[in-house]
Amino acid sequence: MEDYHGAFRARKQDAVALLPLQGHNVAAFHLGGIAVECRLKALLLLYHRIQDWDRPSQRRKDAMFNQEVKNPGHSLMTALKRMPFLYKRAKLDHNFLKHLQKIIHPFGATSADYISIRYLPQATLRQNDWQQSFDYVCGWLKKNEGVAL
Amino acid sequence: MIPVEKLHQALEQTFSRQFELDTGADGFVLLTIISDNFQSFSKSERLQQVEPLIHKAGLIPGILELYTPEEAKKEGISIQTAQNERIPVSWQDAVDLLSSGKRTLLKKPIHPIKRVVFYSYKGGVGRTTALIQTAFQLARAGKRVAVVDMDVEAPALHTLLPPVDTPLQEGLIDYLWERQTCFLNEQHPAKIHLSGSDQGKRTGIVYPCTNERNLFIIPAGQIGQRYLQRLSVLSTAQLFNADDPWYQFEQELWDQFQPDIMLIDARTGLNEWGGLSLLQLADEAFITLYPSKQNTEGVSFVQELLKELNGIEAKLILSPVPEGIIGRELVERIKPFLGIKKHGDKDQPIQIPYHPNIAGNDTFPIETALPYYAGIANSLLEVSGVEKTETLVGQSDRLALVKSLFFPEPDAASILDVDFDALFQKTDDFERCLDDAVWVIRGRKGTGKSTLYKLFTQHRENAEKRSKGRLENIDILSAHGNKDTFRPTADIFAQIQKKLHKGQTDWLSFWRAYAVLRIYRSCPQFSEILKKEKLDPLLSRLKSSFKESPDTIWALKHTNKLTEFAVDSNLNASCRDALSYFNQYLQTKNQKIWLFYDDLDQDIQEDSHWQQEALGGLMRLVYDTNNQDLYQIRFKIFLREDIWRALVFTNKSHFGDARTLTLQWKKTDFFRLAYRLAMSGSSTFKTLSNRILPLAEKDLDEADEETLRQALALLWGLTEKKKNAYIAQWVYTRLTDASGNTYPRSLTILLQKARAVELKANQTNAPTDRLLRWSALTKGLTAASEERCNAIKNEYVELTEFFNCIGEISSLFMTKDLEILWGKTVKGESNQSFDSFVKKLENIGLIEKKKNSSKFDYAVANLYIDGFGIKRKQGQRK
Repeated sequence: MEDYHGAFRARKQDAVALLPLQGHNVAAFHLGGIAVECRLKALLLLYHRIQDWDRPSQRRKDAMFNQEVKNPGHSLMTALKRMPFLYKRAKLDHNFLKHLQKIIHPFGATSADYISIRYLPQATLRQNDWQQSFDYVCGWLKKNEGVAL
Repeated sequence: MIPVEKLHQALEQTFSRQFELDTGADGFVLLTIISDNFQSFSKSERLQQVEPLIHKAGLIPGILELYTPEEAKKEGISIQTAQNERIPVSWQDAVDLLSSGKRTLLKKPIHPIKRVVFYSYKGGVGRTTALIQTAFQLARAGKRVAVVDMDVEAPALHTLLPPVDTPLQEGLIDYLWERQTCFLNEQHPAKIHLSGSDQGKRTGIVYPCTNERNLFIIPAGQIGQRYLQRLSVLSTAQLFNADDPWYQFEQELWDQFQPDIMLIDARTGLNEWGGLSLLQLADEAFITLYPSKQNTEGVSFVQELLKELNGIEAKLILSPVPEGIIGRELVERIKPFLGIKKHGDKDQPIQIPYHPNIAGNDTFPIETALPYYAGIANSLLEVSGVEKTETLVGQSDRLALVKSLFFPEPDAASILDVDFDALFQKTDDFERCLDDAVWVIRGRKGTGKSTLYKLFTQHRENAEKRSKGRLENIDILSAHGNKDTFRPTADIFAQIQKKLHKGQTDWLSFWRAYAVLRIYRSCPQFSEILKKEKLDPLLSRLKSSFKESPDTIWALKHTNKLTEFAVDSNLNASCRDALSYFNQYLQTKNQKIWLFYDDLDQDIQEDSHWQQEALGGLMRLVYDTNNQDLYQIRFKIFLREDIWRALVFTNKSHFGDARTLTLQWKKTDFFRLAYRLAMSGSSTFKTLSNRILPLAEKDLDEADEETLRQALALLWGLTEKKKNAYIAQWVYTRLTDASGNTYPRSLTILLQKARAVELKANQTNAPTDRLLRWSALTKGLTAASEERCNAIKNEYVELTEFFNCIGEISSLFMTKDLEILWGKTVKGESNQSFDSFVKKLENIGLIEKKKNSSKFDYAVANLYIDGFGIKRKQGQRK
């Protein structure tokens, strides 16, 4: 079983380390996205009180109780939606959704997502506001992680 | 259509069941689509397929994930399309459903129980009362009704309709808890069930209502630690999956009790249990609210949500609506906020007035308030407004209905305290009776004098209810009458008369002393006043002979002491002073006292040489007190009409129309009483009648003749077959004497007899639109007439001989016929002249002088024709 939490911390460090360096934006955005993905997956398992994927949810007072929890893959939205209580909070915060969108599509909605950008040649454009989004999303998840407990 | 629903529909057309849609704050669209349509399209081309749809719906593109199936598979992304339609389990869930453009899928249960939810946005507006009242009406209309307490955080249904067999142990919450969380199999079967018993004790959580066998109560549970713990672990979200606790509950309920209707008392506000009941369960919903603005927003939201999601049009119950203009204005003001047109809209809310009977009630049902709630029951019984009597009687068991009728006797002596409220007939005279200036209340025997006396002296709470605040600051005390057995009666008054005569004192002094005695025994402050004003001789005598503690037997020592007060001039002067001081005291307190006198016709010997003096003395006391400006002390004397007429005393001329009130039963009073009699005796009749024309107590008092005739149609029909004359009118005429008086008791006799006849009659050709047929009523009228005739025979013993032979004249006659009969019968028995004999018969109400143009001089009153066996002359109205 993957250590999602450890992976989150490591990838976050990677992203933060790469970000100030000239010409490493794509790698930083890619790893930053993966960091958020790991964070959400760690929360998802915790939320449903399970150790691994494809197990029934043990969270009694939840609409998903007793349903199998699948690995959400790279879909950050799916991961969020599988945590109804957290998702309800997310939906109400317009900023969070906006920043999450930035993490998913670092170069805009018409461009590739944080996974597919790994095939892009190095972008020279600096994306200052990405860091803001990354901080917001990580901070928001930290602040609301209590919901998963 | 709301924007997101628009988008949902548009997406459905292109990407049927291949998308997951949601909206965040400010219309931020969260959309995942997995579709072949995106094959070989770039990211921006894909967006071009979707974004216009979002803009068109008036929303903002947010996080849009657009994949081909291969991409999705590779990325491990899937969407949930299976739950496109589902049942919301909470308000939040319902709002979520709406925000994702989804509709609910109401699972059709296999049992046919109709679930009706009573909800209120805020508490304390009479939701549970409305539910219980409706439950009784439905049960009485023949439905099997289950009432379920889902107000789980403040359960109370079981305290209002408590079980009598076994104290409450467990309820619905315990049942649901066990089914949801305990491991159950053959070795570990469930312990909590809906029915069952152990050693003769009920163990099931459902219990029947004590006074209505078609009504079953399902309490939430016994409040305590265990209840709260179980409630806290119950997952409302998991109550409604297949085989889940709630469905097990309903199935068991159906298997074991077969209710037609389940009335659910829902939690107030926007919390999960309230949402659960309304959104999940309601086939029909009633929302109770006080007509004020603080409710409208919440109620409108709930109403809209129910309509949008489940397609249910919740009905509104405004409760409690204040009386009069304030209430009417409140309702009109609130209507626009609830989306109700001011007038004429068919979906007008049901209004429950503020009613002290409802407010102060602790037992159910509240019989007198049932008609207010008839609208709710009617709408559930799918009765649209006023239904044809015929259909309803046709559907019911007519004979059982007739059997259920029970007519209590509406005379003061036999009205039990509990029935008083239902039976007391407030006539138009009632208002005048409350007037300070009315001193004498007169009326023939049987016109309700004693009922009024009883109402004021023994049922003050009922009197207050009907007097609209006019009894505030007024103490009422029985100065003489059957409320208190500690009083001088007939022969004692004869003794008193002798003593007064011997002491050369008049009756005025006696009545004054007697009033002082009464006040002393009833008002604790009176002793203080006597002490303060140094009226010690009077006070010490009162103390020694008439202790405040209730003496029940009036003994010789009491007579002696009381007459001493009258005869001893010093003591009597003290009595006079005492009343003045008491008046002063009352004035400072802004209080009044009313002294009521009844039973004087029995206790003051009739036709005795001193009757006039005695009663005249009392009248003079009243007049004298008024002249002394003692306005805080007022008198109300109930006196039989003929005694009053014959009474001669100084200043009688001052007792004009303003000072006396003649009790009379008008036609509408008579109809009201008939209606009350029928309603109060039979709950089955009442239920049926409420379905035809619900009349609440207040409506009844204000109903006009036409409405009352209609309301009585179920009882005895509207008109005789193929004739235009109203039955109600006919009954009234036949029960009226020559001076236009009717007698409540006659009505009871009529109805009792008619019921008995009806029960024995051939049921195959029974009328279908009424319970008592014409022929039964005719026999009833004869019985009522006989009873009246016996009553006047007993009352006027000196005319016995005449009454025995009265059948020799016919119903219309000439003066000379009567004179012959008079000569044959009672002429020799007294020195009364023929003229005064005729006058007497007219006073009794037995005969009536015809107009000059008539062929006959006199007519016998309809009421007495049958009873005396008088031949009905052709041409006289039947």
